[in-house]
Amino acid sequence: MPWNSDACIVGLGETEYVKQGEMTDRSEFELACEAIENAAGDAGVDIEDVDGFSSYANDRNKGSLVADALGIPEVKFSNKVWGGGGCGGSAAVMNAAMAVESGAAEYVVAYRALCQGQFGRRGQTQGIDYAEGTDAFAHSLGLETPPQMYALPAQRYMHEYDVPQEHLGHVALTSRAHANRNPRAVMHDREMTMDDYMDSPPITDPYKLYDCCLESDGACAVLVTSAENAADLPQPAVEITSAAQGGGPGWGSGVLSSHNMPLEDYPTSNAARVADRLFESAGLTPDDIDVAQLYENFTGMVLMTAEDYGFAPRGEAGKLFEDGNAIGPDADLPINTSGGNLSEAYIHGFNLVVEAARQVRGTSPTQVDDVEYSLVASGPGVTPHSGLILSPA
Amino acid sequence: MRGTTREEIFPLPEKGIDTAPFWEACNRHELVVQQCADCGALRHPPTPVCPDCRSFDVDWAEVPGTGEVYTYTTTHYAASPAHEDHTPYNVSTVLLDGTEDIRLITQVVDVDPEAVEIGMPVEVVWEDVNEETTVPLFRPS
Ligand SMILES: [Zn+2]
Repeated sequence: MPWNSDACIVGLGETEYVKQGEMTDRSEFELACEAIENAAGDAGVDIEDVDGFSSYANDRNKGSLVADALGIPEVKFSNKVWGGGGCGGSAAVMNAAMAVESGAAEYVVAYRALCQGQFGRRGQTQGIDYAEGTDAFAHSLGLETPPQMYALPAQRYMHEYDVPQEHLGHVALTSRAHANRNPRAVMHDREMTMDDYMDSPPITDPYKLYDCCLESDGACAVLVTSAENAADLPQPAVEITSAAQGGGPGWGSGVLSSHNMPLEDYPTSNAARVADRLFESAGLTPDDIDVAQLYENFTGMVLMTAEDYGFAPRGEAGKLFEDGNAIGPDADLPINTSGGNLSEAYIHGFNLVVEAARQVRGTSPTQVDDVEYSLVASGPGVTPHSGLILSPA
Repeated sequence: MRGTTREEIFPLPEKGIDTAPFWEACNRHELVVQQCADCGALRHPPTPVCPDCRSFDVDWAEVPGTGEVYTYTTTHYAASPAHEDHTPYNVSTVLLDGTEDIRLITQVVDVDPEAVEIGMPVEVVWEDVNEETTVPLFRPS
């Protein structure tokens, strides 16, 4: 069954993005409200008309509470995608579109707020004494933090395909180059060379410091409504041309704890099935994509995601990035054009969704000419992975 | 606070209904993997249902406690103050002998972490964390 919604993204809302710990005057909850208000304001929609709330992962800012805080007269849809990491970012938008398409709600906001400085850094353990259930088979045996969890498939991937460290480095350099074109990026004005990358401190092999996403404070949101409503609103409507979420067998906790995914799938991002559905549903191929945002919690996963999406053969995604191949508006396939999780901010990858929509509107800091199809792939390595193809309505 | 014992560095496993038999076997220094009582398929980590035949009947199969490093990472950073004197350390997934594809997350010890590599043959070494808990670590064999 193809994706048959014509729902559109009509509003984009962001707070400022800062390094974790630097957001000291506003709570994470306030940032969630601010991003949602900004998305409604950008769309030209009265905040009281927003009647649906959609987020993902471990967002603490429940739709029901955000709605109360914003004085929403009636909530008609409130939903969060199950699953770890940033994998559900695109799925949250997909769910918003489905709510609109079904008539369950009219203006649904998909959002993510994350202040690591207020609630504990992702790269650090939180001093718990006991690990529960399946997590015990990871945490109690030494595998405690995301960089370690995502290092394991990367090491296997590099081993199987003889991938050099520099291929990971080019992913980091690509995001940084784009951040340097984006004044809102946390790492704006911080040039990075391959020497800088290679000399950055080892975190957990094969990952060096610059292979790892930022730890940030901030929030962002997109407002979704019907094509009919979108036509009457001031901003250029961004059509959700295709949307998909899910994953293969055995990927439920995936790299976050199980590590018993089928061996043939192991050095991948668990994104191939979603990618196939995404393209098939839209009647498109990877060649049709003009610009891509590929979730980068860690550089190695970007390579595997790019391969899962068919942008490169297995083991060769590094060539998409080397020699500046993915940098700038004139690249064959510009990737992570705002600086992404690595260099713009780590808002659990929802900033990648915002950037994918900006590329369709024509307002990216690295704007690609005449974008017909803008792709975003949310987090790797667990179920659900999710993705969107966006295009001008 | 800096940790010196394993108990101070890593969280202890909470023994739940589905997982307790694994950890209890560890206390006896036996490495076991969940096995479907109907179709015989092995699975890990433990779950209440066989994903191959949907049986809820569970056995536990003892495996030899040898295998090879399937993938690994050498961790150089301290994820908390407790880890500070523990770095660098290895974390691996070990492909277990006696199974087709079961992998156990563990740590390869008794060797320079930088010497661990994919394909390295390893064997279980039991670390008694405290009176209630033993964890399976591995060393080169
Ligand atoms: Zn069975």
